[in-house]
Amino acid sequence: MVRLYEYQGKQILKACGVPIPYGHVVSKNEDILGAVRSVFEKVGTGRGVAIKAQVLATGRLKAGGISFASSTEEAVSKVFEMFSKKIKGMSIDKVLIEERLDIAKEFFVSITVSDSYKIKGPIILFSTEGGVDIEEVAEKHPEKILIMPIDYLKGIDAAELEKRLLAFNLQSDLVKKLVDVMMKLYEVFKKYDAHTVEVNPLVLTKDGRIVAADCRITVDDSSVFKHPELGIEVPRDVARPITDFEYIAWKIEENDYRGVCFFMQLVEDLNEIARGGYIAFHGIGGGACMLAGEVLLRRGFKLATYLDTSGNPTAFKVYRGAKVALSLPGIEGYCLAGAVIANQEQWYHGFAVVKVLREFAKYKPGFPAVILIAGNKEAETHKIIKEGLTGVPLRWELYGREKVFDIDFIADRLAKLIEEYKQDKTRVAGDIMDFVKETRPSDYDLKHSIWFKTTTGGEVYIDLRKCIAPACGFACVKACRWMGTGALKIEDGKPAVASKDPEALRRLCTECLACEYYCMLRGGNAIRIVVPMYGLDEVVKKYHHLYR
Amino acid sequence: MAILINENTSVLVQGITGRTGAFGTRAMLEYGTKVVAGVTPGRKGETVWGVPVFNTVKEAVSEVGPIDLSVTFVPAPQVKDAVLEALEAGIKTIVIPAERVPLHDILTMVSYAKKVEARIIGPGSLGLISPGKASAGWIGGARELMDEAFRPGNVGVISRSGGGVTTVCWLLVQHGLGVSTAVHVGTEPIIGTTGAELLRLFQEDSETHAVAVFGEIGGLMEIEMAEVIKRGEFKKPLVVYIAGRMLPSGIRFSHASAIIERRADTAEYKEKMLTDVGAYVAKKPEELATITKHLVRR
Repeated sequence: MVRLYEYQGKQILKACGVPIPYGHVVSKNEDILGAVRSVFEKVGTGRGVAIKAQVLATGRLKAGGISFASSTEEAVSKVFEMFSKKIKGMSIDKVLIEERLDIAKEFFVSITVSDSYKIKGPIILFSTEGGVDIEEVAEKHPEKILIMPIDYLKGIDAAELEKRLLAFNLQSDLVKKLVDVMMKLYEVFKKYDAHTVEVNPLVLTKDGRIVAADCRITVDDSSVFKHPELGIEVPRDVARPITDFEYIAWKIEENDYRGVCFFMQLVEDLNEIARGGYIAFHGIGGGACMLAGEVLLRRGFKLATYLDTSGNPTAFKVYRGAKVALSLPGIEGYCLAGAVIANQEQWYHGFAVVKVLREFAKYKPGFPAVILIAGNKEAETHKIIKEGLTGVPLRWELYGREKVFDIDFIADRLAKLIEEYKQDKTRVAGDIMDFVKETRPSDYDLKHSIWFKTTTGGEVYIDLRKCIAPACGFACVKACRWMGTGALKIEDGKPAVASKDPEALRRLCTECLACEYYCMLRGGNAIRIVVPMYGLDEVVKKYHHLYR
Repeated sequence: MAILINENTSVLVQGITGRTGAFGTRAMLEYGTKVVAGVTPGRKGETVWGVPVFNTVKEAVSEVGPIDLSVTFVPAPQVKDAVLEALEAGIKTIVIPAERVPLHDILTMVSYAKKVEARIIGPGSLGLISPGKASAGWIGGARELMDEAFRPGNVGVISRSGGGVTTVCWLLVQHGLGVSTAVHVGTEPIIGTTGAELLRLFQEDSETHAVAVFGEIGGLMEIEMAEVIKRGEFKKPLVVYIAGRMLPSGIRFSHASAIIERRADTAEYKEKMLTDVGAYVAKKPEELATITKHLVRR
């Protein structure tokens, strides 16, 4: 779930008619004095202002992320002070300066989603104890909490809600105001595809106004594409800003719904990763990742990445995910942990891993890689990997279902190979840019090639000068019919594209990488597939000094 | 018996002409599932692995007769329309394989299903299988693996991990046990049918003698299973393994629900709740089979 900043949430609430305190949000290099003055002009000097760091952490007050000031001078200096702080390790880009409310009473209100089997839908959470941690209230005073399920098809039953609130001994005009606010919060919840719209505290001021003093909205990851107005670049569940590598990994996923490529950088600081001792961790499926990740962590491995490719992804998707993981600086080993009996046909993982590791071996010969793949098409996949990596200068090992629960063994092997690699006096590394750059054939080569584009912008080139068909038995065409849906055909004794229509070809090519693989093994190594990486080369270039 | 699907269940595939649709259809047919029709708008008259394709669900139902279950092999943004179409056509069990389905689409589908008394499995579900009878979705993926990993028997299997389901079934086979029905409940933050509900169905199923669960950190599933036992709604032996201890909290681990946010989300807390109501906790995945073996024989 993507968390919105308080100021973003409050702007949304205001637009939907929920009163918020008067305030002004500023960045470091904006007119801070002007902003402070404008707030004081509006609210007078009576109660002063609150200065609130805009970070995605909870418990800001205790962490020093909220301070108060009663004069313009004090406020300005406190805003500057705030910008110099780090709240729970996070630097502050924006600060919200807003009127301090004259509080008579604080409530807790949240519209959220319950995954309980009894509900499986939205609920209203309300408590007469606002401004404190709701979980604590739930433990100590469950009677002070209202949980009311909402029928998603009908919306909030206002009469019922009113009745339930009156049971808390609240005055009826206050209850009416609260119901009105909750109805509006539910509108926000629906309009913004939210998982949670929480206001804590919802303040009753001494002059009888209801005001949302804080606001925490989380938007559903899978709905972010519907809300360009929120400016969310990467819908991921992290409290810190998205890293450059996570941004690239999200581009892999954004418009391609075929299987899942879920990538998280477990260590935000690239300098730390580059200092050494980290491995690229790549699991197949959430269950496998958790099984294997658990053992590797227990065994003291430091994981730089959490990459999961599953749900029947294309070979392109697996290749792209692995490429991002391997591109982190100073990675000392690669572990592909398919620690379950997988349902998807694993050969797409096979083709992808062969391609990415062959490329990586040119950059870091001798690099350690332990691969565990089990499940559907296990034997075929093992054959693909074995043949594809034979003779490739890597320390690679491959295991199947007999080791599916013996991750300790996998850990042992990985540790051993990493040790060997580090001890290797002849160890050399090339330039990482050679691994990440996307080279296309020259115009001259193109004249002798047939080529077409795939659905995610990949380019398949067949160099007819190198093509040995029919001597290879049309390895590429056969592979395409076997693994894909027939983008290639035989024409005049040579491979050719199956359609003149680029759109039709895009549909026919399933991005399985099989043609390139089999041409390499059985034919003249005439096929080159360029898989665009959404600017990974630029990101790596930016941190080039970290790659030794 | 088994639950939710058997050899007589007639199955529709929505999105049958797509990459995963065709793959799943082949797996189901190879396993002997009664796949009676497919739907892809605008593709009426085609066949996929011999299954006739229609433009709409209503058309399929009127041509081939009543349909019990639909698998929607449709990309996430289009899932809601496909599922509502199937529910409106009167289909009572819907399996949704897609991941990344918008949350409010899920809320709409789940509420609508409740209203028309239908059942949704997923989203993010590879499907379910009653070994020796039939499968729905792409669980197992291909006949040779399905024959190896799924044998008929008396253990119900539940997991939020697709690989987890197949792995538990395969483990049970290694220990001479078989499965009544195995269900991948799905990966999304809200799912149509939770583990707790499945336990109640397994309670009613005479073929099921025990239930094995490949669980994980985060979410409510295992906690609510303990509640169902406590209330006496599930009385058979339950064996649970929980994956993901030691993973850092606050980070989501690809399954939308696998995020430790609350005290109740940790492996340790879940294990305690389960032990307290008399369920068995497996410390390693293999123990799901070794413990269950004793329970089924007894």
